[in-house]
Amino acid sequence: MTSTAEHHEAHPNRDATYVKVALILAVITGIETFTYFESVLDFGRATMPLLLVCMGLKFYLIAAYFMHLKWDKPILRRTFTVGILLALAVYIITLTAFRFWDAVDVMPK
Amino acid sequence: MAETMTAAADTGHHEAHDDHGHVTNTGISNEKLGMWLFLGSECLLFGGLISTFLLYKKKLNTFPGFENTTVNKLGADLFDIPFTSVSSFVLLMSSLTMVLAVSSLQRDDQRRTRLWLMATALLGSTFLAGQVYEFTAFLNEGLGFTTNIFSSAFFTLTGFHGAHVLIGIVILMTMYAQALRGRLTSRNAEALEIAGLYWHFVDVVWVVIFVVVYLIK
Amino acid sequence: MALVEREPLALPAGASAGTAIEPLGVLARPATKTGWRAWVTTVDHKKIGIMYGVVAMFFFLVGGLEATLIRLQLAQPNGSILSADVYNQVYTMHGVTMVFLVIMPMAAAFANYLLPLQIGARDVAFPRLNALSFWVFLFGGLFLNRSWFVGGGGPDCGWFCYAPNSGVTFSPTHGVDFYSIGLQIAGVASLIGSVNLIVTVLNMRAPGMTLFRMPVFTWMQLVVQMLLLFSLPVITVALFLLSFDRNFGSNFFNVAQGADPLLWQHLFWIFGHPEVYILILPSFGIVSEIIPVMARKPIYGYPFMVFSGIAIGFMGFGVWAHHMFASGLGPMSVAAFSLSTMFIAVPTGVKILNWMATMWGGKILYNTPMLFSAGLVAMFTIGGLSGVTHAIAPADTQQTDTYYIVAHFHYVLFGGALLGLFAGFYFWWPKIFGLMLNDKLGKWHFWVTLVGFNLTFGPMHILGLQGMSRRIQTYQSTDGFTFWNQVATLGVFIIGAGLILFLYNCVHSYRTWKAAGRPNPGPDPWDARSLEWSIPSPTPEHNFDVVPEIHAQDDFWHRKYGEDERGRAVRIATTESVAQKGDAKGVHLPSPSFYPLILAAGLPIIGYGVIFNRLIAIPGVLLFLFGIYGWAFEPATEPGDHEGDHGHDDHGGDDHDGAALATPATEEAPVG
Ligand SMILES: [Cu+2]
Repeated sequence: MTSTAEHHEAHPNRDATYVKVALILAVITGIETFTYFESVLDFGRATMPLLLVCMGLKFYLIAAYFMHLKWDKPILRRTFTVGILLALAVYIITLTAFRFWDAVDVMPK
Repeated sequence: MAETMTAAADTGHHEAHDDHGHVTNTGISNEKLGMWLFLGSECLLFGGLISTFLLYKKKLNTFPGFENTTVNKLGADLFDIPFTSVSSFVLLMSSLTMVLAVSSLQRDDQRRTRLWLMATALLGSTFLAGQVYEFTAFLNEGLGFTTNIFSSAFFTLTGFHGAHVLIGIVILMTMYAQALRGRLTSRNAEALEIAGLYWHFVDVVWVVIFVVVYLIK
Repeated sequence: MALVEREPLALPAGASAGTAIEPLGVLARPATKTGWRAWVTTVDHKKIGIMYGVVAMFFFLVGGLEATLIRLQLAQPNGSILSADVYNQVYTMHGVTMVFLVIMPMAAAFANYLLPLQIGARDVAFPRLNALSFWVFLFGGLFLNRSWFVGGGGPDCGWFCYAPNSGVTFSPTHGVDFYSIGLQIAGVASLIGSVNLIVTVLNMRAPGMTLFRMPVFTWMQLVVQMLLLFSLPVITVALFLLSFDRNFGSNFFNVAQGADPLLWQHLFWIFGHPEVYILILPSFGIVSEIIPVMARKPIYGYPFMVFSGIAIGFMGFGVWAHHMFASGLGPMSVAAFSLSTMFIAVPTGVKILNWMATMWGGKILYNTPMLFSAGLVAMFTIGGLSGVTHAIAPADTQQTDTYYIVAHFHYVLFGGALLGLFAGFYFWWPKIFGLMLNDKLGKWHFWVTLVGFNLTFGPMHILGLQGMSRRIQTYQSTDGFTFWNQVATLGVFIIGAGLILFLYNCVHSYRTWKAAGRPNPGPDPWDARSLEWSIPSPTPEHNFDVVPEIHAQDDFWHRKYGEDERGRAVRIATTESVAQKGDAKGVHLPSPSFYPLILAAGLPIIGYGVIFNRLIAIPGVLLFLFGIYGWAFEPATEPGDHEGDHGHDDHGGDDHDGAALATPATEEAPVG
């Protein structure tokens, strides 16, 4: 059991942090949902950027705290980041090739 | 990357073993590193599905002849945002219970571990039930898997995510069964942590889907 | 999968050494060490590597037969050996077989066998996942080829299977279903393998084996596995969309509903271009091992070699649309991808220059492995140069879908990848089987292959520029294609003769070796540089008696050779004195298991279920679940398997049963 005792020291109790993070996540989700009710408060053209920032923040919080990337070895962070960045790059280029970002009709006629 | 591992390599295999198996060059267990590599790979899987959905959502609205048909109404207009917000919230909270289960097991608090594990599985199942309800509602409205390009892409994307949630629940229940037999102790905290990584990843994917698929118009 | 590989879950806590632990597996642990049972249950990376090689060689014969049929059909105008329909199936299956069932698994054979040896490890990180990779690959490959017998014909859409040709309308048989599901299964095998090998290289290196002391082959394999890891999910998506369209009526490539068939092309080539490097980089690694050994010089510019490999891997994700210049991408996209494609030629050129600089001024031994390596350098250069010509978009619009393209990629894949793999066979044969292949026959094999290869594919450049389309079943005598087609057909028979020479060499070398009383070639027949040559031939089951300590790049070489005052290499020790004896007893190794085989066997049954009748899938799913749960509850190492005295050093391979060696943890726990 001595090794179990050592374990306790290796794992600081972060439960309070986790709960705080979850609260922040809940609040952000609230904001996100709020954008849907345009009649209450219309964010106008800021809606989309706001949503994307909220999404990125939630993503970061879960990956950094719940998935321990904040405290873990950097190689894990890098592995995951490579996957995310590669996915973003490759698929954004693909959508660009489809003229996805153009406001106009993409189809002929 | 090179420096860290170079340093670790020198302490290599001569260090003693610990409870997590043998010492590795990176200081990370094989299983954990393997799971992270797998998750890195999954980013490109979901990225592809999400891009397909975005492309076809736009195409449906701009396809000549489809602008004013009823088929066009069978698209994003059907989303029930308040309902999806609640189920998104449920999945988000399951990440909290998951991380609390891992943290309890690290302290060898097996009773709490079981409690949080069960809570996570239940929240996950609630989310899945919500998805089944949503799918049924869409089907009743006339939007099936084969209806149009939007629906094919939508059901495929959310279906893949749902399948991931289902696999996660099976893993959690297997671990719960092990916990009931007293086989889940602080020695296995890392196994549970790795299962947790998978679970959080599935949650993170939903964070993206919720915004990109449901909220952005 | 990492989760189920982690075994302590199934073990009671605090189990200590010597305590017999009740095995939790459902099936009795396979115990035989010889015979076919030892092979089907093995988790030994060396046996798995050999099986990969044998299966790949079998599929090579299948794919070669298909190639011969194509060439026979085209041997004369208005050929009538194959109908247009069958012709489509044959060239499709030729491409799919050669890419996915020959070159990839042959490279995987070398990766499996050599990676642990070159980094000084006892096995890969996940031995049972390794076995699973192999079985899944084998079942996927067999599944693909079953389409000939039960699918109403093979897939007929070309290896890249463009939509909407791949849809039910234009391809009504089950061939494309077998294509999409078979490749899906083979993809699972490669994905598992990539996670396994990356973890192995990052985590299991011997003390002192830093990343920048690793042999170039190991580096190239690391890059390849990274490419697989990140590109396979993209083809997975594409194949799922195709399957859903064909089997469940979705609309992903249904143009009538507004779908865009270019989506398939993008997804396919986002995977497909990295795939090209997945095919060629292992062979680059192989010749990077052989050339320094035979030129008696260290590899020239090791860091350039490594970084150019990494650069190729990285840039490989940014050039895919050069396969789509003729599809109407728009001038911006074409210009961007044209530029990025030209840039990727730079790191490739760096490699070729490095090989030549390594040979430059060396006392080159012209034996078979060296000939094949030099052949790769020369032939790949031709293929690389013709590749640059279609980086230029206007030229490419002329070349697209002509035999010029066929010529290009055969110079890259046959002249590059395959010649490299054959170089590897000759080079590592003594390490793997404990006997040398006959050098004289090997040289014949090389020259015959080289001549046949150039006769087959050289004329295709001309045919392509003359305007002959690829994938056309026949041509007219008035087209002016007859002569060069006949030359190409002659060439393919010469290649076949070369292959027969190789197979004969395998048998002949074995017979003479047996007749001579099975002489051992010794641990280091080539006076080589990397770690695998510091242990006996064939490799003992436990690889290393003692896990070596590494002090330099080419550490084994530096233990044999020092430098005199003029900087020339001089022998300081005999190989016998520095090589390991291979006599360690009781080194505990991961135990064999039935479950990888069982789990893998479930997948093709599920595939049949999707294609024919959903009910068939049920036993497949049951088998799959049985495999997974049996696996999860079976310890990776049977407690009884490592009783008795341990080897000189016990810290290798797959040591999940940490309790047996429990000593107080001295370093920070890896979790948290
Ligand atoms: Cu390419």
